[in-house]
Amino acid sequence: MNKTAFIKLGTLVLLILALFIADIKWGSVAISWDELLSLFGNDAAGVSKSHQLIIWDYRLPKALTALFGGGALAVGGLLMQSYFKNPLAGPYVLGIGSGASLGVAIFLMGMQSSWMLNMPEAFQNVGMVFSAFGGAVSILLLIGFLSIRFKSDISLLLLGLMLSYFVTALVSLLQFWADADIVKQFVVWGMGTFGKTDWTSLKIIIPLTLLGLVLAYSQVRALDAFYLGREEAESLGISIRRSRTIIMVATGLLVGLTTAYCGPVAFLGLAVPHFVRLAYGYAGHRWLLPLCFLSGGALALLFDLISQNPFGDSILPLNTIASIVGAPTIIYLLFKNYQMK
Amino acid sequence: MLHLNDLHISFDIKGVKRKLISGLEMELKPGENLVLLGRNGVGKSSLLKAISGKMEACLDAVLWNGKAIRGIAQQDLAKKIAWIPTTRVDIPYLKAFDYAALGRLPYLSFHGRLKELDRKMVEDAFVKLHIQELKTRDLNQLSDGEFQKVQIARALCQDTPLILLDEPSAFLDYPSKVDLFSLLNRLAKQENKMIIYSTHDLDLAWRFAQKTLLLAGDGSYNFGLSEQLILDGHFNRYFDDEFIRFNGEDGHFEFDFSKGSRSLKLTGDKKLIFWTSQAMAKAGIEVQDTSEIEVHCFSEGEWGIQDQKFKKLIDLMNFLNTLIF
Repeated sequence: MNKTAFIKLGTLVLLILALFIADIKWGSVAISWDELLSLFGNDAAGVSKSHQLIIWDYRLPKALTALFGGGALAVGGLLMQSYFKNPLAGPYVLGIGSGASLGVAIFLMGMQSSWMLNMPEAFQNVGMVFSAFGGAVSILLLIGFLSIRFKSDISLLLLGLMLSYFVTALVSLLQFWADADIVKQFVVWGMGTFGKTDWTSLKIIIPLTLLGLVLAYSQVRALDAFYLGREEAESLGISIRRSRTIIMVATGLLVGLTTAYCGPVAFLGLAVPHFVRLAYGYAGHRWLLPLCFLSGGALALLFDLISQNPFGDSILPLNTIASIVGAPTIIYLLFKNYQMK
Repeated sequence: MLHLNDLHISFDIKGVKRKLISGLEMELKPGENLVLLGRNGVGKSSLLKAISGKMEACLDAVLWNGKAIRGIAQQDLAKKIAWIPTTRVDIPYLKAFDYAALGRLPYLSFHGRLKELDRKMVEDAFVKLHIQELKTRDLNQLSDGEFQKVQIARALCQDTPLILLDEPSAFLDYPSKVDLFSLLNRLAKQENKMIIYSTHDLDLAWRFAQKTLLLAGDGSYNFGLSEQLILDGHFNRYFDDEFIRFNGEDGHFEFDFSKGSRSLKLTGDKKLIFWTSQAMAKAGIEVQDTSEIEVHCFSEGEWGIQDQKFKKLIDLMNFLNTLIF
């Protein structure tokens, strides 16, 4: 990495800034530049109460969540791809996504029973988050516990995959028994959104995401060494067991948290590391990691912006937008890259 | 200094314990290079792994300057022992320089950034191996021989007194093998390193490795100066069978072809006789001085039999096939 890398990094930061502002400016309710400027210039007098509310309590938290959530998923994807040396690995490869789904499904089923229905809506939101995070962490702990017995990473990948199947089947069973409106609620959760967070949840999301990033960053040397394979990494002085534990915990924190608040957001975690590698070439993880975080954040902001459908009234599901816009982009980059060689 | 003290390696195959190496005692000093020889599956790779500290059961049997490596932290061990495996890794977009630089990892702080000194060491490694032109090449576009040298550059970057290589010559063409073995010999002497490698290139290895460790695969072994092992007949003991024979006179392997019923006598130019007899052996024709049929080899490169003369060996062979004898 050299000067051009810094220029690329700078461009990325500027891009994020532009997307961030755009994400706040545009949405189903039109808000003028004047209103935006005066609001952030601490001169809110000329702005209507409802517009103030939309900006402060909806769009700003949503944009921050997209930035941190998208970044967290991308870093989670990078960690899994580099750890398993497998380009098809993604943040949900160890079953974190299906674990979260099970948690949410169980919680929503519980809602059917009458005593829960009488609880306030705030309880419902918090409950969803906690059960999703709980589900994700339980699966991760289970994998971690079982993985003590496995030396091969392929077995670990298969284990994650099998657990995913098993848990997904349990979720299907729960859905089969659930009422129609509960099923709908679950399906909507599964489509992913950055718009369900408020400032209180951000007070949890941002510090914990930063903690996850610090943990992940502490392993950049190990991740670089993993390029060479486990045994060579060991010869280079990397403790495989310790690195694995920290990488798992970091992934669980980053991905579990994001999934709890935003649902299982597809595509970003798997695609962003590829996108970064295609765009920047080889780099040590001390570069890949921040680049993935920033690119993930930028893409999440872009997808959120599109899903808000600035030119129509309805909001589109995030996951569909992500895959519809993202997959062709990656395919294009792949083709472009092969033509150069 | 490396010292192996009562080292045992055995394999569990479905509950049946098979001893590969038993009670191995060995010592290696800086500046020495050692080759591990033995048939497939005798434990060469396992021994290399054991020395590099990857085998839990052997950690007490490997002594570094008299101290068991069990007591040496992994990070410190990485500054003493470099290990180069057989398998080649392909990492997309990675340049040879960055690959070699990974050898500096044990010395870098947590974020893994190369300092000026680290960069210089990587540069120096490429200079030492005369492969500067490879620095900016993509790793997966290197030939196997070039890749092997870049791997050695990585080991040099790791700056360890001991370098282990698992079958480094496996995928190389013949000149590259010679090049590699002489390089390892030179590195040991010039850089005062200990180098241990395994190989199946038997008749090349003893020419370049000062010491040899022969592994039988049943626990027994022989260790010493390569030439001493040959003089004592150990190479014969390990590698001879009905088809192949190690020639203790000149260090080559000889092969026995199944003998046919036909035989002939060769006279004339010595060099021509040698190569003609090689061709005869493959064709199943025995060379015997008592044979009635005589082929005379003229020093100008011609063959005479009965009243015929041939300028090419193939014409002689074709003619012999028409003869009934």
